[in-house]
Amino acid sequence: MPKEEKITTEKAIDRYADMVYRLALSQMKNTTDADDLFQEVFVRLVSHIQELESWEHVKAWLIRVTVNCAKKHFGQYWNKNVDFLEEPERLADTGGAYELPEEHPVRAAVRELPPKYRSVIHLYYFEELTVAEIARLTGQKEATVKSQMHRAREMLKGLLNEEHSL
Amino acid sequence: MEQGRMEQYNRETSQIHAPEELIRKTKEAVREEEQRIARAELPQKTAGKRSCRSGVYRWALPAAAAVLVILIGTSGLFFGRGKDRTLSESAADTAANETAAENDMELQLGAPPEAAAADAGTPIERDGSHDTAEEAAAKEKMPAAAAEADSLREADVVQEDAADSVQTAGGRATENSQAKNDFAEEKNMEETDGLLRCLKKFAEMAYRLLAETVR
Repeated sequence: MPKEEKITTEKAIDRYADMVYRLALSQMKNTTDADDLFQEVFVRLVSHIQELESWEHVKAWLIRVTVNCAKKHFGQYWNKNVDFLEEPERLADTGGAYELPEEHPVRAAVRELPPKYRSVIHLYYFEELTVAEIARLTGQKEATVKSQMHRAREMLKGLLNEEHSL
Repeated sequence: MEQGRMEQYNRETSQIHAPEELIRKTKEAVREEEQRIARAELPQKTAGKRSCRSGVYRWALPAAAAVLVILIGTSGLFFGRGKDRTLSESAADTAANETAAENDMELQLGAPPEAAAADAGTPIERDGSHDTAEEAAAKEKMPAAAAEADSLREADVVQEDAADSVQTAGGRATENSQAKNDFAEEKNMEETDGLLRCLKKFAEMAYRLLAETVR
């Protein structure tokens, strides 16, 4: 029987950094908030890493905490009522020497959706989770997730048609 | 149509990668957090305490505190009740003894023993006779001394009688209070046994609960 690889936070970062970053970007309206969310999730993982028994658990935990942290972020008064007019620029001399991910039309339309629809769409289509898994991770009923999916698709259709018609 | 859009979304999203800089910063933050947690856990480990992560430490401490509070409260209630009753009973007994003794003395003597002693003559009055002539004093000395001795004896007898009567009255009152005390003690013992049995059962139950939790 092969020896189990020891689960550490640094290994979790190497393994799931892209997944968490994509989910954070799909949830947040700008990359600064996505970066903050990314860091917060992994720093939280430090105090819970010993409770997680397998990499599957770690993945599920990361998805759940990312979605919950995003919800908490949008629940705050400031974030609910104040919106950035533009994406804050990243400057090479401030140490943030990486570029903005290129914005594509479908992804831009997804980011226009309300946060709860964004996470459902991302988890279903990109992470390829089932409705039951999404319901378990987000703490909702399966019927709720299904109806959210339906509404999100309708809204996306509308947004993309609008974009094409423009 | 929709499928095509979602495939496009997947393609777009898969092009996104977490920036290296962000990963490096996050790893640094994680290392700092690990060090902070290690520093916070160090005093607990050196003190030989159980780790909070097991979930036992968090649970056991309030439970133990609650058991302790209940035990102290119960024992305090028990001892407080016993003490109050003993004090009130002893105060009542003392008052009864004193009243009985006074009544007996008044019945037997009719007058206090100090008055009888004063009637028989006092050493001060006897000293006043030294002012007369020596001969007269010598003559008067013998009968005066005899009379004085008699009066002193009588006073002694009266005092002894009074003391006897006080003792008898006191004895009767003591017997009564003795019976009362015995009854109260028996009752007290029964209550104590009951309480101790309850406490023992409670302590056993708490101990079993804690042992199961620790296991």
